[in-house]
Amino acid sequence: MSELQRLFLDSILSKNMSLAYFLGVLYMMVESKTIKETTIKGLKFVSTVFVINILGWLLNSILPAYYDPLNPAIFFITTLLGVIILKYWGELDGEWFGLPRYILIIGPLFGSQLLIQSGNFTYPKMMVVNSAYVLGSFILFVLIASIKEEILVSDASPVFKSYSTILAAIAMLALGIIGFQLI
Amino acid sequence: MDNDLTILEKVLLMGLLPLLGGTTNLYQSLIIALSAIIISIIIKYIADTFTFEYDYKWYILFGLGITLSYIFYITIINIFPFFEMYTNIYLLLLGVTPLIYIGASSTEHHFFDYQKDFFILMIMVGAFREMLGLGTILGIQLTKPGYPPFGFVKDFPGAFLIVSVIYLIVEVTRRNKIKNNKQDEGSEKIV
Repeated sequence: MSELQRLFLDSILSKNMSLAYFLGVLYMMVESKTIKETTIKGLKFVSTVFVINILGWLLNSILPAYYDPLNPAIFFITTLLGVIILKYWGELDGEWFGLPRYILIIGPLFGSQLLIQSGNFTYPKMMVVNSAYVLGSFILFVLIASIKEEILVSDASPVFKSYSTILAAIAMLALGIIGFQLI
Repeated sequence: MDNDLTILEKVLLMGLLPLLGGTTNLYQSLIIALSAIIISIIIKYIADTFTFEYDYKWYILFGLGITLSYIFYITIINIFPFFEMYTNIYLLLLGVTPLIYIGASSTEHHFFDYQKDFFILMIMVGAFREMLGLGTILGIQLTKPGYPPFGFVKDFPGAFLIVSVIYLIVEVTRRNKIKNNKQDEGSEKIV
């Protein structure tokens, strides 16, 4: 397996740090009543994250190394651009437990740029990691929506109809991916 | 599943990032949990003093959260160099964790319950991950070196599993408690 293929598999799930954001907060924003709606919303979110990550990396690479302390400011500006795009698509209206939705999306947008920058990737590696991040997250959106639908209609005890089952399912999926990496 | 979420569930969703990334061992969990709680308290009290436009309030709070997490990160690795090995990028990313802004929310009124649940969860996940994934606790070797009971727990999938199991245990206990209370109330009525 080549270095890039391994990096892709690593980043898609088992070392997909941006997934932690997606699962915690973004999933609540993306998730809808039907799998089709979740898929469309998920596409909008992950495509925005993908573009913003590339933009943040490019701006970070263009600037000389002594401007590195300004990275948070650069990422903040690109994040605001992402917020504007999603607001234009009408995805950031309303609140979530008293927090405005546009504040919630700042985390995933800003954090994933910071995570990619901390990896000191070259352009091909950044593209591989970025693609794996968004692909892994998108697949999980759809998978979780399906798992959730199954859980709700199942005969399981109410205590299992909770987020613990979803997290356990993701853990199993991640272990499966690790199995592939060992090949 | 999404209606009437408990505080624990909200903590789980809003604080999943440090729960998964900042709990490789107990020291790291303690540092990140305490830093998050202190930042949350600062943000809550500053938010209480704000009287101006709604949107501006959130932008300023977010800037403050990011700045505070940077200050904590730099302070910890400079004042306590020993702790550097226990901090990671997740300390830096506390500023983008929604849970630290919960004190500024207009609808959530149990600020200290959120912090308590978050702290307990962080400690539990950190302790279990260190014991099972590394075979140590607070750096003290419990098992034969190099042979942890469940090595995969120190990695990302293990973190998901530990969080899931702890959440399940807490949820089962909570439901049993509610059930027992209802039964007690019922028996009192019969008497």
